[in-house]
Amino acid sequence: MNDAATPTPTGRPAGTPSHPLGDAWRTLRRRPDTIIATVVLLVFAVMAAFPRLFTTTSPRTCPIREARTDPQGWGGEHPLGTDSLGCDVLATMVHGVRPSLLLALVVVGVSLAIGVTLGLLAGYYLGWVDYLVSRTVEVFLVIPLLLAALLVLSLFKGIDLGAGTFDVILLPAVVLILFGWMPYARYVRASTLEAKNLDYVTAARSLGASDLRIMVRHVLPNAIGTVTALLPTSVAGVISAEAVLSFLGIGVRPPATSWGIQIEQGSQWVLGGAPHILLAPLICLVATVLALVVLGDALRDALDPRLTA
Amino acid sequence: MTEPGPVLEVRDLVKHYPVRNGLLRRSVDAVKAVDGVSLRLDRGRTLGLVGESGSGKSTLARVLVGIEKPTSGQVLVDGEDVLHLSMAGRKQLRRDVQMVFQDPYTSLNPRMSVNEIVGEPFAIHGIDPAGGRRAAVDELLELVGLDPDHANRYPHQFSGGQRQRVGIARALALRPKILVCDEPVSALDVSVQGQVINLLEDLQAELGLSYLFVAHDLGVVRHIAHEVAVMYLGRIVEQGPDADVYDAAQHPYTQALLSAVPVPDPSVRLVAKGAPVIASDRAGVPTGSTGDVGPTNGASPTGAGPSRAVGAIVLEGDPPSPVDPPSGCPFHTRCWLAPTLSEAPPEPSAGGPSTGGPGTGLRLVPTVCETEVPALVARRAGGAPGAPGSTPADAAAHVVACHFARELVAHRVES
Repeated sequence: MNDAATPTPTGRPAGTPSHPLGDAWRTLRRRPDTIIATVVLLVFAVMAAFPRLFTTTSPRTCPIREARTDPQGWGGEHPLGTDSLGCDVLATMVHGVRPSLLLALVVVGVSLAIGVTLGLLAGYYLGWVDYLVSRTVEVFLVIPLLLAALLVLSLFKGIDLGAGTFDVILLPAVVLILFGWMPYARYVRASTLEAKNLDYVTAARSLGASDLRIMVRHVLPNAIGTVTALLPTSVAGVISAEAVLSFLGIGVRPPATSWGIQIEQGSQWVLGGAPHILLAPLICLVATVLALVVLGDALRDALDPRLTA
Repeated sequence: MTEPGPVLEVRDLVKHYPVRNGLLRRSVDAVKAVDGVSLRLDRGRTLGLVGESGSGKSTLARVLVGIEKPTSGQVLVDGEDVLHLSMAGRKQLRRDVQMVFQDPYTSLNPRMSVNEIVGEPFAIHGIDPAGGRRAAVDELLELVGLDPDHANRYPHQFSGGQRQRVGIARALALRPKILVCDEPVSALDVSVQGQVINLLEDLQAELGLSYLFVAHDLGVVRHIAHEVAVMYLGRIVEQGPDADVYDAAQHPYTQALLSAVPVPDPSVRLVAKGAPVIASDRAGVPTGSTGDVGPTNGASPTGAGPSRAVGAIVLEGDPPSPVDPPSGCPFHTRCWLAPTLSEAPPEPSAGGPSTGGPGTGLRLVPTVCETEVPALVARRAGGAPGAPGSTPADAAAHVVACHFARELVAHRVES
């Protein structure tokens, strides 16, 4: 904590209930970077929910003769210009928020759940569970992502998945989850090995606590730290990986757009006189990741009682 | 609490850890951490368990609280064999034996408040004490001398001694009959050690607890224990009432341990440093409180150990590997006494008891030490003058595992 002026908990009147979450909020509030990060994320969340608030242009009206128009500023017909096909960059970007963020959220969330569960079980029980999990992790680590993506693509060829919010991200989500859970499993396994031999775990066991209770109450909260530092950058990784997948045709399904697709297309015109096609979605991506990093740090500090004092 | 008999009895307890090797992870050998230990602990009494690192004290403690399963042997709590109970029965019995840990900095979960830590036993066993869990926690905190208003604080906000009190409160939550204390004060400052020891003694008087007190600090054990057991390489080598063991130690290992106790008397140290010849004069040093083993017969030297500086008996080398303990008496490879005994050639007596040093080549010890495991039996106290409080009954309770124990004259260690 860099905030030396804040009262320490010892200065609080005795007996004041101090709940970890209440403390967490109090600490978060004192950090301006946290507030900015929260605002950024809120803006994108609103954009994902109500894209029409930000643009009236449809991302699907693409007059080709207006291709690569320079940004015209607020009030113009195309505030951020148009891309190589003449589609409005702002409209594409705004409508791309929902699939992009949803994909990132689903992939990171599910990978985290799978990785943490398997890593915890492997590290806690060792023996054949660990053998199975560790070997599976190694197998998945050596299969190249693109090879697996092509395999999934061939599996789903010709199946109409529909055009609902979740349907458009289904394929990239499956592929990215399949090849995204291993780092979490490895990190959690390693920190579980360390945490499970500490005396407080032994103490809980000698009190007769069940394995589940020990894992959830004692091992996991002290083993999850390394993984939380990984999360914000994983979000960026997922969004850019989706661009690669869309190149193969298993990314977010057209006509839906995403930041990944936009970045992929824009990168071809950076030196061709239209860098704005790339810059607009890239700045949004960087802003999102930075906001998540700041928020993640603040959350970790706030939830660790040792750092709040 | 009216039943007679010991509250805890251990019979021939063995704990071996398999050593696996090779591709098939076959068990090729075993670390014999605890190798046939029998103990009994009476109600309201304290049994001190001492020994150097790796002697199996902590493993024994972990088996007793049910963290480890023994390879063989019996653990009886109130006459009931813990190991042959059902899961539910074991959980019930586990409430009777609780543990206090060595390091107060790792024994409390840093992410739980004191309230949650002390209240966890209630949550695990689904107990709702009268007046609610919170009130019970407050009561426990008061019992160990902490302010209940601090229940919402986290462990890092407490000092080492306070944290150890929290650990004791947690152990007391289920109203156990036995507390296994695994070096509960060795991580604390000396001034705080005294407070925690006094707290443990007060709690014993108040709640009628029995303690198994594992430690390597002999002074602390002497202060709190009624009985002392000395462990070496997974076995008990000497056991008895604390006055007997401290003042009339019969096993050479116990004597070596006792001689290593620091003496809080600067004059002893000064004399020792100023006069390097002290080793030969030491029989005449009036304090007599360092490792004065005293001559017993003509073959025995005047107690000169390799460490002349403070006159302690210093054992050579490390304890043997518990994977492959020495044949016969497990201590014979380091025993300072055995090479001086009659079967050995007379030369060793000139160089002191520890002629088994690297330079002198072979150690000659009596054959019986190498071939026969000494039984843990009562020996004649040898007219020990240093155990004034010992009665005939005490003498019978004082058992020692050494073939030559009776040849030793007691030496005195004051605490």
